[in-house]
Amino acid sequence: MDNGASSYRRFLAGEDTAFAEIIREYRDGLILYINSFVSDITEAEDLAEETFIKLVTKRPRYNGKASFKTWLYTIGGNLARDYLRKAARRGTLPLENYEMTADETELEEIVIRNEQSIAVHRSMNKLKAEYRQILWLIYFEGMSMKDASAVIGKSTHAAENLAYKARQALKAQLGKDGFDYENL
Amino acid sequence: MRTYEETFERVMAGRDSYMRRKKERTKMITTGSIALAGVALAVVSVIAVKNRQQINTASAEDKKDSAAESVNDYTVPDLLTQEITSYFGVEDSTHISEENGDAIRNSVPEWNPGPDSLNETQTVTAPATADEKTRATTAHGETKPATSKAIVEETALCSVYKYHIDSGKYKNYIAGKVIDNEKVGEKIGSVTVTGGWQGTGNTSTKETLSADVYYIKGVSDDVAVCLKFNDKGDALTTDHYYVMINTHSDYSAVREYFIGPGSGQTDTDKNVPTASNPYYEEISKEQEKTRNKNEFVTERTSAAYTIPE
Repeated sequence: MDNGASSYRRFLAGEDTAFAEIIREYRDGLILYINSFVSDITEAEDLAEETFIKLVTKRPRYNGKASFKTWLYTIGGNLARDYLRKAARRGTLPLENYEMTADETELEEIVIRNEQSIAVHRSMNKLKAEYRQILWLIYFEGMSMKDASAVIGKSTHAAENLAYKARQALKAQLGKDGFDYENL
Repeated sequence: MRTYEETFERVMAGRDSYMRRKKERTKMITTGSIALAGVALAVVSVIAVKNRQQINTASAEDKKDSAAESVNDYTVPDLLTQEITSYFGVEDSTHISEENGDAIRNSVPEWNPGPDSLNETQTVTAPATADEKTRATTAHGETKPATSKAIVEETALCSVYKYHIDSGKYKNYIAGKVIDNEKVGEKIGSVTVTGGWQGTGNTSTKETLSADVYYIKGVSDDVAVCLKFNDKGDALTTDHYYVMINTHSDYSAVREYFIGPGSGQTDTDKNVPTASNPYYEEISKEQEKTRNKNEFVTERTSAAYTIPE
């Protein structure tokens, strides 16, 4: 059992402080993952917060079939998709080419730490949303293809194809940005 | 970017807010449900009260209608039935037995027909208490008296008193009206008369009365005579002269005394025995033989007849 699952079970047993552990453990990564959807770090932070609120209010049952992170990111991803649908209806979809904010830069440094990885992440943000999502899950969250496919809601094979295309796109983008993909 | 603590506080605050909203929503639903139930109960109560009022109103109208109908349908037979029950003490007046009918007839006090009592509807004055006993108001506000007088009239309409001379020349003469005393001539003889009430129901009675026969001035006894009863019967008096008419003769001289349908016979009644009946002829022959010996001789007529006893 991973730490997240243990903390969540303790929270369900009435230990509120256990949820603080979950937030500390998963919040930044979830924000960056959601940001791969919405391309708005502030909105991503709110959506991540909403994801946690959903856990503490609805108290959904975690069955342990996948890792707690996979389950948490799946919930966050669904909320992000709902947000995008509503934004599409309102006509307020985020722009594809956005300027990185200080918050996002700070978060990158906290989560990614490695300068090369930060460079890759910034090149990733110039890719399509679905490429960003699958690459984030695989390269930065270290998920297996099976877990990543579960989070994005696709089959493993589809996730593999998507990941392949995403790598090719990233490779091309890194080349444009002055990096050599083979050396990363 | 918020700190983890801030995020945690916001998440917990979000939970508290969610729980508060949920509680309020539950409270609103409960309150709303109670209020809705109260409103529904009030509406149902109002509807029930209105329905009850309508039912009461309809019931009252039905009672009024029924009362009006009962008054409108308050026919003479109903009054008769009601009054018979109250006056004669017949419990089930809707089924008047023969005994009850007789009791009713016999209970009619002081049957005093006037001179024209056989010509008209006979009226007997019943006790005042019975007269004033029942009054019914119709829907039009008219007062319809329901007295024993009406009952007796009804009874009289249902029954007539018929009589005839038992034998002799005048046996088949038809009873007529009362004639004035000054038109009565000399006495011819004495006869017996059988009379009685003949009703539409089983109300027939029979009695034998003695009477004297008189000529009518200016009229042949072949056409008509008159009777003066010696015995007072159920309907006839001893103070009046009752015309007896031979309907098979030209009785135009006494037509005014002829009782049509009221007597139960008409001038076109073919069932009336004629003068050609054997008994009449036998009488005539006997009368011829004893003409000079007849104690009843009249100067006005060419023949004198013996009235057989």
